Amino acid sequence: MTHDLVLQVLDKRGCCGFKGPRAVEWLRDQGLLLPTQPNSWAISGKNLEEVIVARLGASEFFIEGMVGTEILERVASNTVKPSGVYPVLREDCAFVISGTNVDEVLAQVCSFNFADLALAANPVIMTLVMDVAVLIVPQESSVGCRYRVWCDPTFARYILDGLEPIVIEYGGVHRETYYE
Amino acid sequence: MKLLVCPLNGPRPVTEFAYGGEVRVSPDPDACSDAEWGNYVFNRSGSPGQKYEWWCHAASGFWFIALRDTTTDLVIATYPAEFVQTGFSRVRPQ
Amino acid sequence: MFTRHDTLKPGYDVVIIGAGGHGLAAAYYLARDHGIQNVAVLDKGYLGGGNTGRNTTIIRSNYLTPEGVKFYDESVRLWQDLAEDFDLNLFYSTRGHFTLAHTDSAMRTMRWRAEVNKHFGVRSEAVDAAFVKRAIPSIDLSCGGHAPILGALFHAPGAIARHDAVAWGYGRGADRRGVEIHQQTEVTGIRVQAGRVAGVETTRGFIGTSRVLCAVAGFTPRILDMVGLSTPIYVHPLQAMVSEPIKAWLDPIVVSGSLHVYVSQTARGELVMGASLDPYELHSTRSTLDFAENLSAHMLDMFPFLCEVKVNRQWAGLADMTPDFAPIMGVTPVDGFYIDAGWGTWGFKATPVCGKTMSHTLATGRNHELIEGFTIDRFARYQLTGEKGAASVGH
Repeated sequence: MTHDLVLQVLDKRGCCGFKGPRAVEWLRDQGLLLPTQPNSWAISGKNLEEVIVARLGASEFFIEGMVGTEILERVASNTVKPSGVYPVLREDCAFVISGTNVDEVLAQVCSFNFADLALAANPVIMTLVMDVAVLIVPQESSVGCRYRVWCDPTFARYILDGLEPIVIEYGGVHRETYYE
Repeated sequence: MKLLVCPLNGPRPVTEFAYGGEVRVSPDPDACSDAEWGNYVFNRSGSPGQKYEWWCHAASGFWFIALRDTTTDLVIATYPAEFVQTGFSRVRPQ
Repeated sequence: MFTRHDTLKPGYDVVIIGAGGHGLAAAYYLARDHGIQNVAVLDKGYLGGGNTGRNTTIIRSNYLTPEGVKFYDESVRLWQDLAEDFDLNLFYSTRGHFTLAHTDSAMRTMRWRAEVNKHFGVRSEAVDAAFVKRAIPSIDLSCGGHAPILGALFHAPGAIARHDAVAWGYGRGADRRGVEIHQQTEVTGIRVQAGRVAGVETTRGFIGTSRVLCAVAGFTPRILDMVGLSTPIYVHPLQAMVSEPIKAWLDPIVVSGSLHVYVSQTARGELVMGASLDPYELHSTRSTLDFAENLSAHMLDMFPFLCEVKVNRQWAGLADMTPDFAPIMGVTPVDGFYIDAGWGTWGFKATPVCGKTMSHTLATGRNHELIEGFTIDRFARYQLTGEKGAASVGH
C-alpha cells in the first residue's frame, strides 16, 4: 500500500510578518510579489529561493521561505523601516498535510470546509484546528491538495499529536522531522 | 452548526468567534460625574433587540461589528471596525 | 394542587411577577410570616416553567465572600426542614460536593474558600486527590492525562433536591394561605406615579398595587425597562443535559471549573450535567450541538467508562448575569418596586432564603440585613460583592 497521505513537519523554514498602512509599498520595494486580494498568497523567487507571501486582511503580510533565502533574510533583518511599516513577531511552526483523504482528516479537527475551496484563487485560510489558531496555504500538487499549516510553536506538539492518529486511521503516515 | 459571516474571512462556524459585547460609547472620563462613569462601566442594555456588537474572529484576530437580533440570533449585517468612527453615531440608539 | 382563579381582583397588597421558586417563596413567607395574604403571583407562562424547572438542582453554601457564605448558609439551613414545612417530599438528598482543582492556583482558591467557610461555621475542607478517589472510585484522576486532579474543596452539606417540587411546595403553601397564582398572565407595563408604583398592566387587565416584586430571572431587563431602571444584568443562555438512567454509581456532586462540568446522579439514576454559560447574549432557550459535544468530552475526561451512555434530553434557561456574580436584591429607587434578580447560574439553591429575605423586605420596606451586600446601588458606589471565584465553573 502506498502511503500518499502524509503529515510532515517542515524543517528549516523561516518566517516574518509586517503590517501597517505603508507595508505594501515597502515590501514591493524589497522585491516581493504581493497578493492583491485579502486572504490570498503569492510566490516570489524560484526553487530554493522561493518565498510565499500571504496577505492577511488588508495590510498585514506573512512571509515564509527556507531559512537562508536571500530575500527572506534581508526583509526580516532590515531594522530600518519607514514609519507606517510595523514588524509582526512570527515564530510559527510549519507542517504539511497532503494526499488522499486529507480533507476528511481535517474535517475531524476543524470546522472549515476544505472540500469547497477554489484553489485557483490562491486562498489563505485562517481557522481553528483543535481550538488553535492556524494559517493554512493550500497548494495544488501531483498528489492532490497539499496544505501548508503554520501555528504558534508552543501548540505544535499538541496539534501533531492530535492529527497523527487520524492520519494513521485514514491510512497515512506521520513522517517525523526535527521541529523543536 | 451556526455560521457567522466575517467581513474578512467569510462564513465561519460561530465557535471560531469571540463575542465582545455591545458597541458602547464612553463618556469623557475627565468631564463626567462618578455616577455617569459608573453607569458606563457597569450598566448594560439587557433587554433583547437588534444590537450592534463587537465580534472577533479568533483565528485571524480580526475585530468587526455585527448588527444582531438577540432574540432570534440572526445577524442582520456586519461592518468593519471603522464603522464605530464612520457610521455608528448615525445609527446608535440615543 | 392549586386553586384556579378565573378573574383578577382590581387590586392586591403585593403583586409578584414570576411564579418560579423565588416568587412563590416570597409569596409563601409573606402569607405565613408577615400576615400579608392579599397577594397575586403572575406568570406569563406556567408555574415553575422558567429557571426553577431548568437548573441542575445543586444546593451548596461554599462561597467566597462573607456576604455570600452567610446568605447561602441560611438557605441551606432552611432547605433542611422544608419538606416537613410543605408536607411534600422534595427528595432533598445530602450528597457532599466536590469542587475539583486541576491547577495550583485553583487549589489555592479552594483553601481560601475552605477557610472563609469554616470561619462562618460552614463545613468545607480542602482535600487531596486520594480523598477524591476514595469518594468517587470511578474517577480518572489524570483526566485523560491533560488535566490531572490535584485535590478539591469538599463541602459535606452539598445537596440536590427535586426542583419542580420546590415550586409546587411553595405554590401550594401560598395558595392555601390565600395567595392567588395567575398563570398565563403577562405583565405588559408597570404604572409609576410620582416615583411610586401604582399598579401593573397585564394581558388580563390592570391591577392596582403599591408593591411589586420582580422575580423573573432572564426576563428581568424587560421588566426593569418598564420602570426605567438600569442594571448591569446581561442575559446569556445556560444549557444543561441529562443522561439515560443508569445504576447508581455517583454519590457526591462533582464540579470541575477547569473542565467546565458539574454533575450529579438523581434518585432515578440519570446524570444531570451542566457546563458554563453560552458565550454570547441570546434571549432564546435553544440547544446547541457544540454544548453537548464539549460537555460530553469533558465528562469522558473524568469518567471514560461513560462512553456508551446516551444523552436523553438537553435544554436551556436564560441566565441573568451580573459582573460580580452576586445577585441584585431589595428596594430600588422606584418606591414600591422591589427586585430579586441577577441570579444568573446560581439561583436555585437560594430559593428559600430569597423568599425569606424578600418577604421581609416587602413587608417592612427595608432591606433584610442578609441582602445588604446585594443591593442595586452597589455598582454606583463601586462596591461589588466579588463572588466569581465561587462560581461552579469558569465563565
